[in-house]
Amino acid sequence: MNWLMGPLLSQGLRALGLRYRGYRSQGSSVPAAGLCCAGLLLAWSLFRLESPGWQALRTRHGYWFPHLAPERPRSGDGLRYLLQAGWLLLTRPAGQRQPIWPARWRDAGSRRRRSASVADRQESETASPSSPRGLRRIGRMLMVLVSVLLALLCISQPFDLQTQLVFVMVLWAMAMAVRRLPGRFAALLMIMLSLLVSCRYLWWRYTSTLNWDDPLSLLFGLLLLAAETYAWLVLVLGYFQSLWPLHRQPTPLTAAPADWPVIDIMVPTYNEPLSVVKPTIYAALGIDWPKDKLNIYLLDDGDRATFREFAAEAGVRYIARPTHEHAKAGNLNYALRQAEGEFVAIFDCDHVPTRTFLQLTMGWFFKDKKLAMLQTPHHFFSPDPFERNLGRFGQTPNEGSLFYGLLQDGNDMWDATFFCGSCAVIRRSALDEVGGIAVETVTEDAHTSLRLHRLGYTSAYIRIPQAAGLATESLSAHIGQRIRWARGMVQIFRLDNPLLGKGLKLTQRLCYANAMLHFLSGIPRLIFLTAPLAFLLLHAYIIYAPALAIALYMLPHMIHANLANSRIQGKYRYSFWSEVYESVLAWYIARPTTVALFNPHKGTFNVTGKGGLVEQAHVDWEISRPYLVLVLLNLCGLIAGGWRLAYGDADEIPTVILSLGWVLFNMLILGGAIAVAVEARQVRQAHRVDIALPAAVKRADGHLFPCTVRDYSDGGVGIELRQDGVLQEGEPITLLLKQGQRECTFPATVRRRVGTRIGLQLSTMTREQHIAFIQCTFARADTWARWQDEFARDKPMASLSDVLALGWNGFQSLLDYLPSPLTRLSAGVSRLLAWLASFIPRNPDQDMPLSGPSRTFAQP
Amino acid sequence: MPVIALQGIRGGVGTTSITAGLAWALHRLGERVLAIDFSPDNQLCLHFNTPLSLTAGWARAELDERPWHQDALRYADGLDFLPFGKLSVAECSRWLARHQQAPGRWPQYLTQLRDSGDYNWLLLDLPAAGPACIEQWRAAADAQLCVLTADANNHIRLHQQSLPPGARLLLNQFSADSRLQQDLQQNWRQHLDTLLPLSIHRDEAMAEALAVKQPVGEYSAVSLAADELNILAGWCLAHVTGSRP
Repeated sequence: MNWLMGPLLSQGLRALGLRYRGYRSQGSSVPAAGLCCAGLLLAWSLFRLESPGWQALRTRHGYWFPHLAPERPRSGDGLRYLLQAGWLLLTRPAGQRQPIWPARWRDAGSRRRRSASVADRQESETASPSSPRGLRRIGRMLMVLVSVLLALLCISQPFDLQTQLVFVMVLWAMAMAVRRLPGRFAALLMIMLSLLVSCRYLWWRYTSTLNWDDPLSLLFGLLLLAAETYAWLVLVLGYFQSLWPLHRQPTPLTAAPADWPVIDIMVPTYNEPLSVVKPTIYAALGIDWPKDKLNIYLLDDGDRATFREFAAEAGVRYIARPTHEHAKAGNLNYALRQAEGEFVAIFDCDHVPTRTFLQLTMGWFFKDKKLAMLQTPHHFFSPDPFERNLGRFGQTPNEGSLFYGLLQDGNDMWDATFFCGSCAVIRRSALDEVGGIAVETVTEDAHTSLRLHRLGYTSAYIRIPQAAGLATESLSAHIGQRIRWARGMVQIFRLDNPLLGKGLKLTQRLCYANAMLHFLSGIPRLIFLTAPLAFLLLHAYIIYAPALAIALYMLPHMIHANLANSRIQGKYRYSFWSEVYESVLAWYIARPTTVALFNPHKGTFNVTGKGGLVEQAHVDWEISRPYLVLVLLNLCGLIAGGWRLAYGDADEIPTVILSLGWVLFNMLILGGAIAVAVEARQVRQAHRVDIALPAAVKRADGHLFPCTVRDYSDGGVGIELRQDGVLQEGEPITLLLKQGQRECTFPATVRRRVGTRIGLQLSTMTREQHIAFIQCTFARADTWARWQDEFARDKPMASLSDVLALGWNGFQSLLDYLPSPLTRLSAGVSRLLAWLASFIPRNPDQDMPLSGPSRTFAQP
Repeated sequence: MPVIALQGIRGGVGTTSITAGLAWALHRLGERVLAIDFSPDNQLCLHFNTPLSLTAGWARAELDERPWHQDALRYADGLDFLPFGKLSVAECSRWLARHQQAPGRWPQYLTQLRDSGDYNWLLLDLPAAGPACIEQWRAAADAQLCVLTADANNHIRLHQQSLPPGARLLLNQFSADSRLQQDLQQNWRQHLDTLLPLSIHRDEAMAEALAVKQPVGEYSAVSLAADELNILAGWCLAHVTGSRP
């Protein structure tokens, strides 16, 4: 017996030892690793862990136990597993949860809509001769009149508190019932409900919450009311703008290639390094269009010799102008005088176009002769400061998603697509008619499209990313860029107001007005961030009503607005993230927009820096100073609130509690703003782009192996092999990539190896090889196709807790960077909280794919 | 039962290796395959681990007045092969003379194979040049793959030789390092619609496979050549059907 058991036992012990060392190398403590090994031994001896049932559980470990890492056990893990298992048994008896709505219902919405519209058209075509059209119109007008009167009644009818409670509960129940129903009808209904509740709130605010007796209360009350009116206006216009996104599809190029127009591609640059500009030019060289009908211009406003040489080598035209007025707009206008193509495509120097850019966009110019401008999204493959500093790249839709994913598509419905300065095609004849790119404001792009619209030209937006670029490198640069946009839009509002003047349709006026109003959000946001202080510190009754009434009017207004927005823009911006984005900008855009509102000619153009490094993590104290002041103010408010609770008027206690809640929310949002100002370290200059691309590697000995490219940058590639152990670290190899039918080879060296994941560093490439590499990777037609697919549906409550946790983290990191004994205390407290929280069982993520999430190898 | 004839545009382009590799790839996909060697060089069997001393084969059997199918060998369950047989020069000309007297036997044999229902796929490894009866063998196939490499010699041959109607070109030993190969491949892709959309790279694994007397897919399953032969097998499954009764 001994001779049989001996080897088995030693083998088992060896495996256990290996496991123990593995835990230790992952950073587990000695007791944790030991306990885990002992627990495993126990589990293996008690249960048949190799049976299919256990196997199924073990392969989906990450799904059932999302908060536990099997490769790095902690001491309390046994208890955590038990708690989570108990929780799962309680909440999820068997199998997967069924979808809430039966499939029949889910299709019904869209099907009914389609059949209804077809029937509608047929009816109006066939029935119009017999039944007088006027009658139908009168009927419809009557319907509208009745509903408007009804809505007015709902908005203005004063209710006592019980009735109001019943009213808002009914509306809320309706909204919750239709929330997950697919189709546009449900979205429209939610918008209607939100409008009703919000209008009612505002009506109530205007008619019965102003204290006319106390000048201080009146002053603050009016300020808050003005801010709320602004927010309401933006809400309503926002609904209008995103009511019916067009989702315009590309249309075929009908003419023969010989009749295709000549196109000038212009790449303006000012002070960007050549390494940023190179990929753009190389990709532009590969755009699918007849070579004799494509001119590429490098517009160098910096007048640099290296750029002139590079342009000559790459075979593109180089234009540098003698004077430098009007920044980018002037640069483009100077070049436009020398270019003669029928169309001009404009790319910022860091926006690398895909080869299909013209093939996908030009069809609409053939189809619509009045089309003057076609815009495609700005896509960024590097994280913006928000994403980087909050560590949320690829997890939350970024700030631009809302605009390029939804609002531009909504604008397109109303023929009001804005020109965004890059990744767009413009018809030259139309552009010449408006005198080239507008130079009067610092946002030349939107102003140019406004002028084109005024002349009756149409615009288009295709929501398929056809170029990608680098996001701004730091928060200060990001804020600088937004200040420029805000100032420019307000300048347009003053100089060429879209609400006035000739040539625009009402819908276009509203879309432009909303875009401009959006940038005036600075002062209202600051008012919201400080409003409860007026009561807590100065005892001004800003909302002169009982606390219960405030809660019954204000909360439904906020809840419905959030529900409706989560429904229509949830895929592009998660709930409550707008609060963070706007709060960060509020202070900085408040002043420039106000100045521009009164003196639109003041202000300069600042260039947005891109592609830089942040060498050390630090807090940008200068940027976060206004928020620190606001936090201190709110802290005072908290203390005053506490004092009022203890010693103040007993009748006021509900109001104080309400105000304190508001202050706390504000503080957490401000904490989020501070968290953004903690600049995370950014060490990699070349950003990795995730992709799945078949390729092959060739070893020096002539063996070839198929592989999949998982990510790439301008200089490195991460691949995944089918088998481990065929490549060694430091080995020189050749990478084979396909560019359409052609296959290109790139010499590279194996830099890192983790299992089948290999990190390759490309050797120095010749110009031809670099061009080929850009065209094999960045310029591929499908590179950015997965844009927007990776985000799950918005969950408002989860998003709220995310944002609030963000604020908490902001304060924590603030304390980390403050040299004080508080640091250790706060670290201890938060560690304790995190430790306690790690025992809480949680629900498996419904949206997680079956196979565990695979992290990019190259982004450790 | 689809019958595929594989023939090089000239000798030495790797047709026999591809036949063995394709047979293995089809076998791995769960198909029952018989590969038949028609080349007097008698090299196909060496890809299936037979000793050099093996003389058996269908031509040998014919010469020895034995049934033609007796010498078939089983490499794996569902993967059989029939060598040509080892013939001396004198025997070879004797066999050829006899063969020309009774030319119409192979269509009969194929019908027998078809009726037996033993196989899903038949792969015929034809010599690039040889007896006139090649035409007949080729005509018995449902699909013909003409193997070639991207070099100037073959480019000239494409102009000189007329390809049999319906033959598809399969590019073998492709190396993206070579500018000439790149250019020829581009040229052929543009001008020859018979060129298969997939090509097989020059892979050391393919060369080593014969040295260890194995089909490449068995020798190195992770190699690119094996992977591409799997794709070729998939292509065959999707595009080649046994149209003949």
